[in-house]
Amino acid sequence: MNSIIYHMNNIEQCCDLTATDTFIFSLTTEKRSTKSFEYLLNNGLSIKNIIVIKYTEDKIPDSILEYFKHYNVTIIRGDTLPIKFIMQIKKLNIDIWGSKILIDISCIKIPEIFSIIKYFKVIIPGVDLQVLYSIPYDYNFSKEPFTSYRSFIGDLSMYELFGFSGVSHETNNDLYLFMGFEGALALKVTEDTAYKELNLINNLPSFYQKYKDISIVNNYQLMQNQKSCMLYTPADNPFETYNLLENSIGSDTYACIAPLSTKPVALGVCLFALSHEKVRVVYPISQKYNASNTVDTYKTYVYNISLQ
Amino acid sequence: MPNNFTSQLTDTFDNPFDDINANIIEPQKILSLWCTPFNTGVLKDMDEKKFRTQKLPIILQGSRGSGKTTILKYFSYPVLKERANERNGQSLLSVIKSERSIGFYFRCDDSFVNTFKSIFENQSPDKWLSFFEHYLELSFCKQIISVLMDLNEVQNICIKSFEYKFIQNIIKEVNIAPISSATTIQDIFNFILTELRYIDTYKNESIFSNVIFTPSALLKLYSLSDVLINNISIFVAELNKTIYLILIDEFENLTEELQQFFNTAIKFSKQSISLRIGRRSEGIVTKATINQTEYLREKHDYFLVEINKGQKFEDQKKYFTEIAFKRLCISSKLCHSDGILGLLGDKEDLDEECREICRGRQEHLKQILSEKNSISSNAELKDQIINIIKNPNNPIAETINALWVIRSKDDVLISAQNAKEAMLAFFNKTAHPNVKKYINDYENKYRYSITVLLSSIYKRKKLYYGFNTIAHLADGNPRTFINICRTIISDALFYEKNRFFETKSISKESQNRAISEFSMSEFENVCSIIKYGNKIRNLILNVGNVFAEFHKDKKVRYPETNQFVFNKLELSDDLRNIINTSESWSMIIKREKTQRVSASIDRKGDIYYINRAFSPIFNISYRIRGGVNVRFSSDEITRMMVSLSTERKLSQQDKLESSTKNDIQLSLFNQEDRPNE
Repeated sequence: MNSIIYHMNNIEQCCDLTATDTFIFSLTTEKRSTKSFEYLLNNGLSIKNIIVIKYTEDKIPDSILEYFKHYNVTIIRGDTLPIKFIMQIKKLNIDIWGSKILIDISCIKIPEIFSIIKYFKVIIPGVDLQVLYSIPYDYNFSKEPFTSYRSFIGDLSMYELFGFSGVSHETNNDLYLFMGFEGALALKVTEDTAYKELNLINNLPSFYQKYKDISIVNNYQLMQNQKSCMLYTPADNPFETYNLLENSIGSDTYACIAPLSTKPVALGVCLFALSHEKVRVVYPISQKYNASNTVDTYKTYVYNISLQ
Repeated sequence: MPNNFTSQLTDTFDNPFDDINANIIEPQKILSLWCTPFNTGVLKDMDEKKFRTQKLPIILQGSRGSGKTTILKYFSYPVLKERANERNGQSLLSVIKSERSIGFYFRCDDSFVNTFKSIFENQSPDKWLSFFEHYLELSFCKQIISVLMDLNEVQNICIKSFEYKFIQNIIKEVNIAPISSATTIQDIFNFILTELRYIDTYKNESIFSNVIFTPSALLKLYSLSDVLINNISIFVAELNKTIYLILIDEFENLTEELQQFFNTAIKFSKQSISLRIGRRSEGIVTKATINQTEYLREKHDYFLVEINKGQKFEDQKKYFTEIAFKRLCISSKLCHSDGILGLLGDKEDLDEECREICRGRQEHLKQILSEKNSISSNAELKDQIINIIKNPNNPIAETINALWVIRSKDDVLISAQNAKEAMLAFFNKTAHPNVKKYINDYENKYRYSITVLLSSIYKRKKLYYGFNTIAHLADGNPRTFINICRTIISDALFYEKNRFFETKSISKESQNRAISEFSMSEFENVCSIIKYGNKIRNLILNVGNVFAEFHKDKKVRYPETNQFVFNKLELSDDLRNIINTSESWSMIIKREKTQRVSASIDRKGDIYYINRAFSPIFNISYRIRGGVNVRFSSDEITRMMVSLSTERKLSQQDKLESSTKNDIQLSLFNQEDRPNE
């Protein structure tokens, strides 16, 4: 049974996207990073402030600069330590946010998504968020399309995501690991985290059928090595992820979660952890990431989120 | 009625080697799988009692998977409780009294430390260490009081009978305002829980708001715990000689400041509190304390206990046999088998393996003989020699004959005849002037190298199987051993389930497949998660390829070369850090004692080898042999870290040898490892 009633729509079917106080998105070399921004502006969305998260020094394309001329644009660096990212957000005038915020999480990295949403929960607890996510047409596989996906370069360090440390002296809990395409991330998590039972979660349905298999291929070692329970959640639905966790963990249990899967799934984990203070969220953070990991855009979803 | 597709409970089989990581094994299982390393080859000069009750702190040093966590957890309170449960008729209190120690396990969780430091350093760069100290003291006190409450619950003690005086003493001895109003132990416990909750809430919320960290009291390490312990010893007579052990695991995960903090705690320990610290190699930790002028001194401030130091191979095998025995006993389907030897067999049969590789063919003889100029261009002569030296039933012997021919300065046909006669004398146990040399070559020096060479010539992989091989590959590391056994059983369950359950043994093909898979996946997995992973990956692949080149040498001049030397002092700080990380993850391993750097060089130095578990990746020997070690300059080490560009060391070694040696180097083995061990 669903724990919450939720709203998610295709962007083209969303009629309430007419005005927002703040639009947050990340500008990268991926086509989908500006897809919804351009679509909404071309469809008459009125915006007061724009917050752009940049992970590279790349020049902003002229076509986007043209849009920016008409708005109050703030640029935040994402390629920094997690704590410094939060400090940049905190430095912004609180009035900038208003009461209606749109966030396109397509190209914002998972730790930053958690930080932003937690910030809103603490500072503007009643705010209504509309979260956009553009599903990629495909991911970039440098060689064969099964094991060659690589989003990060360099060394990984484990962090509890800021604001999601759970209860620190209760460390030996069940681990819920949402599998992604990169086995190394999952191995890093299981190597560095003490846990009782391991629950591996794959996407079903995934964006495309083969993606769930790619997750299995890349996490096969982990699935073989560790006694684990296998669970499934849709790749594009944060609310079902929330429901899955609610059903599996419950409301008053210590647990550790590693959201290594898609961003909608990570969003679901974030919403669950926000309302369950005994839940700890861990994530392996790299020194450097590849600039572009996806090809084109398939479709864009809008998720209505209430942080009350 | 069960249908044909329903698995019956009796059909289920749990791989007894599934539990690998002590981090996630429950206390009861830690106890049931415990094989004491104390006073064995694993921990030679340390007995269990001394480890438990020694007041001087102990640093337990060992590689990844060497068993540090298992040892520390074995002495932790949850496992102690399990021990008490198992000893019918003995109360928890009497077990604590008889063991004279209670251990409290703390794991230096990477993600916790990183986040804690970031948040509290952001709040106050100068004070974050004191905040950590506060957190640690609270956590320690919480565990101490939990023990008291447990003892009260099982009616081993009655807290009520001494609680009033106990609390009065605590209030008198500590200057902690929130405790001054406590009337029960529960009040103190509640204070601790509240403070811990405050830290959690602060960690979770403060970074987003601008709240300042203001605990109701900022505790120093031991400020409350020491007082609690002293009073427990006053009021609970059975515990008056108990040592409280803080068991710190994965010390290397701590930041340098936190390592210094713990080093200070080691240097200035308390009467009834001692530390046991589990860490990897020394290169990645500091010995400094927080006052920057005092450094830890071994034997003065702490005892260093190194796992597996100087452990003999026979001791390793004995320990692994015991580990396997405990696990096989748990499995209902394997408990009656003949232990791990019955399951895997003992030693490889190299003669049989070579027969299977060659299958009567003579290509190997042709290729080896062609290494000598006077034979290579004369096909007729080659055939004549082959006719003399051949022994299709024993490819190792005929290959030795071929090697004797190409090395001899005499006429090749006479040499061939001489080799044949020595061979026959060896097999027939008759006299011959060269039979002693033949025995040594056949039984010791060349058996393994020739098997590798033949598999290379016939484009086959050398097989890795048998308990002896697995013990070599694990190189004293229990986790590697358990992991290999687990992979082998998984493979057998998939490929030869019926045979496995019927014979309770696993074929060499299945073992070899599993070992090769484990070797590659372990290598890739570790490289993918460690710092400098790509560089370490490149280095090991390049070094391994150099060894593979030596193993394919048709003249078999440097058999089983698998060690290398380089001057660490010549490396830049960055490179040295990479090497230290490789060592701490046991990707490369330094031999315990400095040795002559190579057979032809009369100079001592550090000798390294690639983790033996990776030998199957390169089809190289896993045995420790002396003789020639490959030397790498710092430039070569740098190059090998950057890209996959294998250095051509075999030809360099030839030049070096020809300029220095006056005899073939084959007599230079240091005989550390006996053949077929």
